[in-house]
Amino acid sequence: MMELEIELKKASDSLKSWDTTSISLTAGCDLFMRYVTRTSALEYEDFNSAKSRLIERAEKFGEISYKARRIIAMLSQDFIFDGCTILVHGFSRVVLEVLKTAAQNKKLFRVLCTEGRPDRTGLRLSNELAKLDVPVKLLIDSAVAYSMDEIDMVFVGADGVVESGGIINMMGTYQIALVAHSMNKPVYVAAESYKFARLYPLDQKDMAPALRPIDFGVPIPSKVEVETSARDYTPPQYLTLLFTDLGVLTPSVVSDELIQLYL
Amino acid sequence: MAGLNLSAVSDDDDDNDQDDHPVLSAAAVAAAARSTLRPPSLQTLLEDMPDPAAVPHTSSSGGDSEEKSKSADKSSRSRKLKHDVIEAVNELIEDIDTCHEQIAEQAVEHIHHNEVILTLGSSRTVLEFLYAAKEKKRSFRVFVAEGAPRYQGHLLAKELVARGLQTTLITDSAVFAMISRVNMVIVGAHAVMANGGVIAPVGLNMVALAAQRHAVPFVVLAGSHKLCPLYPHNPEVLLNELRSPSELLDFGEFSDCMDFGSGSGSPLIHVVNPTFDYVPPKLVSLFITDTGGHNPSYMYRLIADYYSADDLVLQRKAAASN
Repeated sequence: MMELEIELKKASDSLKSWDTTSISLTAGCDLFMRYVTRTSALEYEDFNSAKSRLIERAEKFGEISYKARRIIAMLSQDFIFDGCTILVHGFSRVVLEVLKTAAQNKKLFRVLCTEGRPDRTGLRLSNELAKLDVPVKLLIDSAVAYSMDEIDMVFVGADGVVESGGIINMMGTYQIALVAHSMNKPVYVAAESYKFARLYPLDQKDMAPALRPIDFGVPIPSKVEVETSARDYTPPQYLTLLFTDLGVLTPSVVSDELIQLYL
Repeated sequence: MAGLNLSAVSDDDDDNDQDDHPVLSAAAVAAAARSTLRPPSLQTLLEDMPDPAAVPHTSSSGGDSEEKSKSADKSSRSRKLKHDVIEAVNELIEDIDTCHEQIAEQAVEHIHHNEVILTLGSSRTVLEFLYAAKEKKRSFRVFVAEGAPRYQGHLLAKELVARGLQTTLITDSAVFAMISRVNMVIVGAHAVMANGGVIAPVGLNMVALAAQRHAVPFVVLAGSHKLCPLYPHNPEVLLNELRSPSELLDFGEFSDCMDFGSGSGSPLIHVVNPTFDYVPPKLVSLFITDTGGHNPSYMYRLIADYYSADDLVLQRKAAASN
């Protein structure tokens, strides 16, 4: 029995080591481990029943996570109304699923995508949306405040959802949330429940750094520093609602849910 | 068991069965996911009991001796269930009857001497609240905004005067002008949404904005039976009621403009008379319920206490395949 748990832990650790900076991977592995081993079957003498119980719980977890995107897409449908303009930042498959479902439900809306330098997420996203016949407009990242008055809502995904109810997401999310908040536009986050992490960043630098090099196209003098962080933290007061597979949550509910999940 | 049932069906089946409310069925699945991922609650353990809805079918067939004993067993269980349900409903009725007293008990903590309170329209909860403070010998004044077009503020003002409170009656438009002289705004609610937003009689959004502008606390009194587990995505339209224009205009006035027969066949003048306003949670300072005073961001907890996540959507369950 103990051997089984140790094997699980080893597998989880090797998964995590593939990308040490990924919050969703770490959180997902932790939650999985907790969920799978939270069963009294481990105390029984019968190894086979314990094993089958663990596998059953594992498959359940997988099923919930797999269906998460569909559920999130369905829950957020009411919030997308006909004639609305949605601002999207970063390339999130959950947000793409939300928009796909809305398009399939014949909702009329248009999307503004930020360019998403340097990952070019805007280009990838606009390609996908063009395939769905959704009117798309690309903005450079600095044009967000300029366009904010024609926007009805902001939709982002999340790399991780932290204990305070805030999110860690692609660099630029915090900026957009600040602008949206100052202009009274709602910011909606679509995130699966396995991204809920036991982190509490107190400021932007209070996270494990995730750096990636930026190509400016021209050589930079060696004395010039470049900010290469790939993600930022958006505090909960700038978020309106989180759509998760556990339901629609306000940011203050997140810590409650986290406690329940990690108990 | 309920969670396993729902997730065993594929996505396509879900959409076909609950076609008219795909969002609600998604909420049900989300609730099921929630209850699965958490340590088992008493609720989910009790759900292991066989479905009592199957009972009427077996007891009506009778005949077979084996079935008779099974049905006797099940009918005693259904009797117990009936008893539990009746008890729960009685408790709920009692809660609703006593909520005014329990809220009014907290009045003394919030209303102090020589304060000026503002309210709009008429609410029984507010009346009881103010009266309870008066009973405890607090001296304070009340501004009542009349609450057009029903003018229920007039009734409230009369009641307050009858109970010996110094009252001032103002029009709704005068709220912004008078708010700087007010210490606290106390209002009732029609419903409280899951995000802490309030569905309140029309005009209260304006009062809430005025209160925020002048840093006046905006206190909402709501019994726990007013809590609603829904999130408002378009509250001005979907959770509102439009009443008769006769409350604004007398029959006969403007009848020529409102006539469908005149001119191009459609009237140039429309009269809109919404019943409710939506007050967003950031404008509310405090909720006073029968369980005490709470922050708007805490309302989800109260709702979770009163509504199990599984009960947010009532669904017909297919014959239980436990």
